[in-house]
Amino acid sequence: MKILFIAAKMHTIEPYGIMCLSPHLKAAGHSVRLYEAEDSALVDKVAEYEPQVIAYSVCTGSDRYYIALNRYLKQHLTFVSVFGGPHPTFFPEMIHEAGVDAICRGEGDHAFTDFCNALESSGYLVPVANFAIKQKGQVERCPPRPLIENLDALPFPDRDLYYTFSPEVSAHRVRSFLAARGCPFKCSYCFNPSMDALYEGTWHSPRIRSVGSLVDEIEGVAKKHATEFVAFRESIFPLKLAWLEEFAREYPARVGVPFYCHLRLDLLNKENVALLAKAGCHSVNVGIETGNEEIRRTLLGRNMTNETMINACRLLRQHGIKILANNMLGLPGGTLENDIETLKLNQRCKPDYALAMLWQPYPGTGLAKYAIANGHYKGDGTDLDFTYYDHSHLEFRSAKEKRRIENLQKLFAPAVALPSLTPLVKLMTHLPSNPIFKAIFGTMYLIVHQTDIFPHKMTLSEWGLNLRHIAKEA
Amino acid sequence: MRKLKCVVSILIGSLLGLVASCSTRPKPPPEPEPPADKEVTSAEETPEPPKKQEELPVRRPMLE
Repeated sequence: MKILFIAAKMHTIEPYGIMCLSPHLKAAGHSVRLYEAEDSALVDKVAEYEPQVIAYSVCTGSDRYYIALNRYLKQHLTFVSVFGGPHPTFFPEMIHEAGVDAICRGEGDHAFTDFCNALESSGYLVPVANFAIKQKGQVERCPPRPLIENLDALPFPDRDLYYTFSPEVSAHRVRSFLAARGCPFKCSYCFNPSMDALYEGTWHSPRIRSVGSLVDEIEGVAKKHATEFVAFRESIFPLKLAWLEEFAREYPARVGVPFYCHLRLDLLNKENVALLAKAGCHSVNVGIETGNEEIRRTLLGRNMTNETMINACRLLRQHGIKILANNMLGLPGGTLENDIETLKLNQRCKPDYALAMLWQPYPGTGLAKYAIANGHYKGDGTDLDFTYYDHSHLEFRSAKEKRRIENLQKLFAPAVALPSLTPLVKLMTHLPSNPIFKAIFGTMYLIVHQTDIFPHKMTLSEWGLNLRHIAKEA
Repeated sequence: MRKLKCVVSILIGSLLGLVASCSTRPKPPPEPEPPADKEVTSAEETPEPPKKQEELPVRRPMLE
């Protein structure tokens, strides 16, 4: 059977979910392709390929885009549409949208192949575990199957699928990998608690790949595709000492490419940070999120002190590991003063890049429910965009405060890097929203990402293209 | 180095922002609303309506 994945404009991060599904489908004898949604010849290409199934991996915020795209394609072609990824996982009511034939919730590794096999053999939409299907307006739902316990048993993601149809991504020498799935923490703004509820409390125990399997995959990719930098994208990189010791032996010996990973500051100590550095960890992504300890503990569900974060950042710096600190401004019920506290904590932590985003009320998360219940958010989720770097969707004490928070988010990184700018930045937040603030944000994001966090070569032409994009988006 | 990158970012960003401000064209005036009973004649103006969900190939062989 012919199966087509369609993904929105392909950037430099590979769509890991799609790459994970592809090898199962191919092993079952299906033909699999991936097309770019914004391709001007998309309809012609799809018509020529004649897929029986078109599948989309959808995050909240991009759901309207894919639903509209799917409807557009259905005007011209006949196929079964399947939506997977975070949005249908947490908003299964998406099945009621016109044009949506089936959704896959949770891990689709085996489920999507089972669905396609059943469709091919019967010619009908057949409900299989993890799926909800819609026929003549009637919806049939199946519960999720148990989580895949042994991640080593899974085939390696099919990168060729992506690189074949997106040569520019192949040329980008940063490659993404997953060392684990699941997260034991219950941060209220994160998808992980919802996953844990979907899987009846089994998601929170991280499933960790063996070092051998992980390094085999990276080594294979690096031999086939020029790789300057490796990015691990799981919620939290494995920090068990035995695992990390083995990784710190195997990875440098067999791959030796600098890497980036996600960590939690309260899990760091001298032993694991030293092992990370020994393994070749170049940069880490850590959440500071807010500078107010009470908000962090009670609203965000993150029980760690400012001192813990400052000490952990110092430890990382002592080992020469670069820090990207994530922060959320404009929290529900928060104030500009709270966000200034966040700025000051970042100045004490001294990350190499302090990335601030404007918190978005992704429906289904605990924090969004709080925002709705307390009148901070009056939308229904359909107003959310692709980006969390532009504006807030919340109500604040005044329109002026909201504008100042949005301006602070754009000027946050410069104010952390140059604390002496803080008084000026505070003054500048009074100004109307403008392209200059947006362009400063975009430029610093680009420069620090390319040179510090994900260091890799970029041609002059690539720099030019990126800067032109920043000016266009400003 | 971190501070230098910050200063460079501010300078380049300000320049790009200025360029963006200057190149922002004023929006054209809105076109008048077409009359409600206007007949649409060209094919381009009559996009094919999306197929209804009931017309999708479900519960019937679809892979002939």
